[in-house]
Amino acid sequence: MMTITRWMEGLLWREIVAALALLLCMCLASPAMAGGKDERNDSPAVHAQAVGSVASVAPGKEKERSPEGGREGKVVKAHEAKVESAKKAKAETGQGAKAESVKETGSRSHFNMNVLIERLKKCNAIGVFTKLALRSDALDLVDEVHDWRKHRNHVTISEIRARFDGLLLKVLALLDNDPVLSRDISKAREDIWNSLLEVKA
Amino acid sequence: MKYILSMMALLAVAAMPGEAFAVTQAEDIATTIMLRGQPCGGKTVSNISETKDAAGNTVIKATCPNGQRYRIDVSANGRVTVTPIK
Repeated sequence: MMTITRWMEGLLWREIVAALALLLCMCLASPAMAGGKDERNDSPAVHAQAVGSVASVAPGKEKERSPEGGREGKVVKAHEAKVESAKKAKAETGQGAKAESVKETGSRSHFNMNVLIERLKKCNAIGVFTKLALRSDALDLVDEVHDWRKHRNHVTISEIRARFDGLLLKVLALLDNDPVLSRDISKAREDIWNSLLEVKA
Repeated sequence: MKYILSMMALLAVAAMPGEAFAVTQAEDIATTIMLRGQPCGGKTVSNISETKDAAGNTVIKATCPNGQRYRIDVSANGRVTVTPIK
């Protein structure tokens, strides 16, 4: 009987400690209550996640998961680790974007419209009449761009861009049997668009 | 040894990137019809007839699998138009 009462007391104490730890964690997680600096700009999602993860754990389950009172420190450490990892990820994405832009500028320097046209002409995956039909579409698009530049039509640049995307989609769909050329055209999408805008018909 | 070399050569050929194969005229015409927004109902056409005039304009007539016959005009400067024949 004595052992049971002692065990019950221990359980009660554990519950109280766990609840206190939970409250402390919630206080530390919310910047307004903690009184520290507002980290909203850094990672609001991480904050919400941390608070959510802490709040979602029921006190009963808390007892089951961590009977020791050291849960508070663990949660705080985990939260700090999350914030740090989010900061690192942000910095890495910034570096990645820079690297991508550098890579893009590098690839743009290699872009040659005439080479792509020649490759399309020599490509066996598209028939002669299909090529002529595509050429007609491309010439129509060039005429449209020319008219837009001269303010002769009421078409917006976004509409012309949509037509260009549609034409490019057709070409890529037809190049299903030539994946290399398809990939190269797909990569040079923006360069082709820029060269289309620069064409003086 | 010869067997191994021949197997290696076969593997090398098999590992080469897929070369684009040429399309037939029937497939080409069917694709042109579909590219112009006309329904065809298949990837090939039949009953193809081709005529060319002195100015360099080409007129092709073909029947799609859905039974619709089309006239494809290819002008001397390379413009393509597709019209269904009633």
